[in-house]
Amino acid sequence: MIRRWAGLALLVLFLWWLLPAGGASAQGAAEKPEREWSRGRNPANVPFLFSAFVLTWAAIWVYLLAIHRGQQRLRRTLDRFEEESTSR
Amino acid sequence: MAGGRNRIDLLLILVLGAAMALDLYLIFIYAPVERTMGLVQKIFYFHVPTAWAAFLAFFVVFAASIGYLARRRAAYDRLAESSASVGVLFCTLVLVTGPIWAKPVWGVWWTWDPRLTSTLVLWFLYVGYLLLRSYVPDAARRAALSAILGIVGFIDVPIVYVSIRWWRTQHPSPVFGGGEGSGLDPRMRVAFFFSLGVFTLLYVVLLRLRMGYKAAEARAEAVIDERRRSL
Repeated sequence: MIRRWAGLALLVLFLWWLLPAGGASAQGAAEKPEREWSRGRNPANVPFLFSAFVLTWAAIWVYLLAIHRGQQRLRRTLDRFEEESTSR
Repeated sequence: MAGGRNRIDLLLILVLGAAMALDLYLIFIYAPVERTMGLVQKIFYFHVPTAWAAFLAFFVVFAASIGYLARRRAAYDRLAESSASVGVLFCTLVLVTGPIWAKPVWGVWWTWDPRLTSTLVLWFLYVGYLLLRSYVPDAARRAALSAILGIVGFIDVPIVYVSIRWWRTQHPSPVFGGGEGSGLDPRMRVAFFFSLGVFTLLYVVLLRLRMGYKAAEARAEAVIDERRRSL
């Protein structure tokens, strides 16, 4: 329960951080000239590509691992239950 | 039966592994580097397919939710739950890879543009769907309530899709069918469609694994309940 509330609090904090920054940039989005939007454009942005790629595959592996751990937990619970019922 | 299912899963994982390796070759070696954005444009080959996989997952939630309300079978509810879970994973990846691509190209991580905002709303809807499931203890009530949310939530999917046609947005126009000037280099097209296939297969594999887990969980709960009653 505490973990859920902590997660929710973190999400709210993240949105709070995101909102003013995003809102400010959206406000001027229509008027901003092309060159200003393009500031910082670098054709060889390898770190960005690398991080997007790594995050994508890492997230998929974490998801797979979560399913695997869930299955293991399920098996342990069933084994424990089996032991308890046979000891009675 | 379970052995047959495991064999199919194993075969699918092997095919997926080989396809992923080929996909990496197509993305990073075969497809040419885009003239304006440079290497960072290669994010396109997994940003768009993850969005497609998320849309597909949410469509399955929508269809399975209708199925559950019509027939009241637990299998439909399990399919909807599993697909929503995988869909949230893909939608999260869309929201992560998008800003990483936007920063070097637009100069900002995030802007409250209709496409981006409607995608964030979509993510919240399905995270809400999963939260709702974890907070309702009664199985039948949980399934019925989440089926309603699964149907209503899907309304946002076509909105996300058409947002770049309905409104003037910072997000690029559609690559296919986007009018004059749209389209891709033939080699980019090969890499893109192959990547689309790989992510569709990845969705199928993750969905099957998740559904297998949920089915095992349901069976275990039934066994525990039965034993408790008999003690």
